[in-house]
Amino acid sequence: MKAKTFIIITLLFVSFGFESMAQDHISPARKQAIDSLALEKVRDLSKYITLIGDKETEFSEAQRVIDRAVELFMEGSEVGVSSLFREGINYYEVREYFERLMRLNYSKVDIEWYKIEYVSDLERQPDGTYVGVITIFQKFSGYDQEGGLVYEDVTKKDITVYVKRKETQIAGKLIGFWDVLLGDIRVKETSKE
Amino acid sequence: MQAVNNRIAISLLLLTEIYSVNQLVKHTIMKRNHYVSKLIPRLFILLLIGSVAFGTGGCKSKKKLAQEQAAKEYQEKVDKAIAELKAILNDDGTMPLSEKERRLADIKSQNLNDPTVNDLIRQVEDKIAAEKEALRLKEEEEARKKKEAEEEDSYQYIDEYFNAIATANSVSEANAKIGQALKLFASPDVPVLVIISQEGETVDYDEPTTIDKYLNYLKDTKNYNNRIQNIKFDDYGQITVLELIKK
Repeated sequence: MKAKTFIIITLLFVSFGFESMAQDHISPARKQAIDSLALEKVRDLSKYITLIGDKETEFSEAQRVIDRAVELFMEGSEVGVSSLFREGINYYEVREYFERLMRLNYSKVDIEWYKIEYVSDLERQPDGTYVGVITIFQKFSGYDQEGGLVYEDVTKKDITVYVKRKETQIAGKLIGFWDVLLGDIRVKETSKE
Repeated sequence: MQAVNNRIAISLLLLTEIYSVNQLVKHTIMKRNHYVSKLIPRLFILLLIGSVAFGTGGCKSKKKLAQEQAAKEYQEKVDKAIAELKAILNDDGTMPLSEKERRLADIKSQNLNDPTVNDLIRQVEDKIAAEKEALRLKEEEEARKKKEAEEEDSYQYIDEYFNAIATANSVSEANAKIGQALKLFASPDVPVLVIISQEGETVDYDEPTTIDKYLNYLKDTKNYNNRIQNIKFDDYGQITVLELIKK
């Protein structure tokens, strides 16, 4: 019995070892595809944030987009919010952040993300997850009813990205996919421009 | 009278001489005939022995010649076979595969049983097998590409829906297109797979989604940068699985 247990444990250990070895040596082309995928998710988030913040977006649409946006994040992730008018940074759980964004007290909100790029390349961790940091610049503009600019700032934010290969069965076929999840969005600096 | 007598005497003397010579000749001939009669059987035996001896020797020589001829012909065949086999092995693709097979079959049918030829035959067989496999793969690849091109053409109407949603001028216009596009699918939950990388047997996908979410994604991000890779239909002609690939 002990021998059997030992063999099973050894086999499991070896199989996990092989899997980890196989994923260790992904080609540059595959790595580039993963890098691009993670960047694309951040770009998608920027479009969702623009839609959620847009006062012209219908409530139901905004709610649907919030759901999609939340799906991009790891559970429990937080988003930092800063202001030129106060010290310190407030952190909100992602859904709460989007809900607040949707209800901002401006007649019109423009949010634009730009300079979306890796500040720290995706690096493989011992558990097989690739972790990197993508930096973005966010330009926020809030307008009043008359269309006058009430508030504007530019915030540099760092987004931690987690990428892990997973497998699932779709229509009887085993699919190997890269699950990209965003972590906390940390405010690095906020300026007027 | 004296003269006549002299002449008669001379004539008689001559006749006597002729006779004696004739006798001598006759004697000589008889003697010779005696020798000849004795010699003929001996000569015959000698000839017989000689003919047997020389005849056997001639046969032996003929056989040897034939053997030498055969050996020469065999060597010529071997040399020719080696040259042809080497020509096949060194061919850079100019010789058609059928010609290689024909030449190999011809050489094999000669059953030369020469170690060098046999070794070259094995090498040529390996080469022909490899070329056949490469040809098969090439034909498969061409067939696949042709099928893909045909499918791409036949799936153009789906691509058009996706592009129309991604470039819609308003949310309501996009939603109307989404409603139309969804009719092509068996349900809003039909899986959509997006290939992000393909390397030999290894295929990397983005996280699987559903057609409903994907169409809304196109509307939200205004970004359709994929093309259709594969589609599965049900018995009613509705899509049950959609596979896309990054452009």
